Amino acid sequence: MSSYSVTEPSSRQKWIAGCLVIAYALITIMPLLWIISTGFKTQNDAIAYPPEVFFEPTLEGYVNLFTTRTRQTEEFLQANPPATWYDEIVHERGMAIVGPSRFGERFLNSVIIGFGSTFLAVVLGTLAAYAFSRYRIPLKDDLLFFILSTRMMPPIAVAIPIFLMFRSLGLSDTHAGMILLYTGVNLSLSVWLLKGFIDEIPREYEEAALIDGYTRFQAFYKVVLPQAATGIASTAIFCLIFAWNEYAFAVLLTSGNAQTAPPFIPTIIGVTGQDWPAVAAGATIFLVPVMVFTILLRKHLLSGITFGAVRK
Amino acid sequence: MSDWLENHLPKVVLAPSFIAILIFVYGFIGWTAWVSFTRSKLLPRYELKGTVQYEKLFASPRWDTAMDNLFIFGTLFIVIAMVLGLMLAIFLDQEVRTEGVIRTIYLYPMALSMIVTGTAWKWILNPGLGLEAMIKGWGFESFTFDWLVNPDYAIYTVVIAGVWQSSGFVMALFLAGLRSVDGEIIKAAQVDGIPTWRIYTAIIIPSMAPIFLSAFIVLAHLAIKSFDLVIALTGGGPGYATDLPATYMYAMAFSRGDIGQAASSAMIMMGVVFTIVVPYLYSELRAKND
Repeated sequence: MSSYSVTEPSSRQKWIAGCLVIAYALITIMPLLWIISTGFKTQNDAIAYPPEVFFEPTLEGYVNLFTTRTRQTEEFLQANPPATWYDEIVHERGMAIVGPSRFGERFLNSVIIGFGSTFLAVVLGTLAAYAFSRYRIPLKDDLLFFILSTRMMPPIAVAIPIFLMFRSLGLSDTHAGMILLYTGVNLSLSVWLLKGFIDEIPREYEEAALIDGYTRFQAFYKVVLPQAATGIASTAIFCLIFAWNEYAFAVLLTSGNAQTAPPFIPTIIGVTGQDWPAVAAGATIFLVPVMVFTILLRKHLLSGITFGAVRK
Repeated sequence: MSDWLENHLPKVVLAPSFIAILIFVYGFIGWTAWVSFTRSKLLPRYELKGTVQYEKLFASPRWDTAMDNLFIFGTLFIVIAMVLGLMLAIFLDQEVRTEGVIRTIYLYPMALSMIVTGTAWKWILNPGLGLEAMIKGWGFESFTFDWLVNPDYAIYTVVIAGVWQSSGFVMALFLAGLRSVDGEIIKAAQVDGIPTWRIYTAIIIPSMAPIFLSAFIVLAHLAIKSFDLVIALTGGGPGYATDLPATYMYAMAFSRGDIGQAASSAMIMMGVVFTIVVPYLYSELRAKND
């Protein structure tokens, strides 16, 4: 599909078009470059006027992200020389580390909730998609429509009953509650995408396996699953990206124990007073996994956003 | 046992997903609909009181602002993202060599958390720190760009960030569309000496009508769902100048303790999404299976 054009452009057209698309790509990537570079600036460089493009990189933002610090007197700092490189960075600002920050916990929560809900959504979704793809199911179209329609609705519209339910069942601010919620939200996408992938696997393989004496489940497990591996992997990444980025419910239903990174990162500003490098460092660490997944998934990215309507 | 399982397997595997969706989506929508006809405040109440909440909602200036904003934001967001997306797709289709890399760059904002990338936008749009400070720093002292903190213009910053987030995705949709246009017709038109721009306006773009519709539907439902975008940039402010229905609903439910108002605004939001999305989804599904 690459380097194919509906019209055959002249070399001048190609050149102008190339410049324009690259210019827009630079605009697109600018916020990301800002985040990554600010993470390596000092506080002063970050708010320098005019903004600094070339600067001496420091890990101060990252150290601040992972620690809590207090301002100390000169005597105290002299009496307690820095023991590690990160102590030293903090000492240079006239401060001492008093403990870890909450960022590590929040990040771990994002990992637990993201992977837990993805696992459940993909397992349930694969089973449902297989049934939709291979069995005669009464009202199949209507059921599929019913499942897909949920994805288009604004999830925030059901926030009140979910909030009340979580509170009365004791699910508020628990990992289990968030995993269940994200599994539910992701199920429709997972069923829908996986049905598309399983539809593409020829039935003949399973039929041959059934004739060889496999049970239905063995045929599913040993024949269909390996064939659908790519589809399952990309569906899993879509579910993970959703759960990873979700904000509205995370900020509503979690506050401490199970809080994920998205509600936490913007609050770094409040804690240390506009600590842009620390915010940017947190944002960088948070965005990197998704950036890696985006690159891995670039061929399937579109089908996930359009529910498989556009495959390429 | 295994025979029973064999026969009922499809129902058994479908049941959990089906029941979950039935209760947690449709059940909860039903609950919200019911509560929207009550006088619920901090706690839900279940005695029906008619349409008081809706009357109150339509009389509320804040809701008015939210709906106006949805209209301004939705229109600009959809139009700009589509025009930009189409242009980028056409340019990228001119055999640009680094296409693969550029496509991935264009698509990435859609995959990243707006709450987190929003921190960069807040900084860029901040008059004292970002773009304004930078251009002033270059010597243009009279340059001002304070939309983020100006109640009359703040909504347009939401449009900028929204377009930034979605235009690449629209581009990819159109690019796929461009490449499914029948090459023979275009070759024939070229042989007849029809200029390239005419080929685009008369043949290629009209033949992509279904893609325009898909892009419109996706963008429209994104606009109505927009929540993270506003929270990340302006938090609905200054004042409530950039409220959208989703942020209005959230504020009513969880900071004002007015569940009845929140429920009625949720129902209006749902109604808007429904009228746009459902006919489209249904026809798509029918077309696919016929």
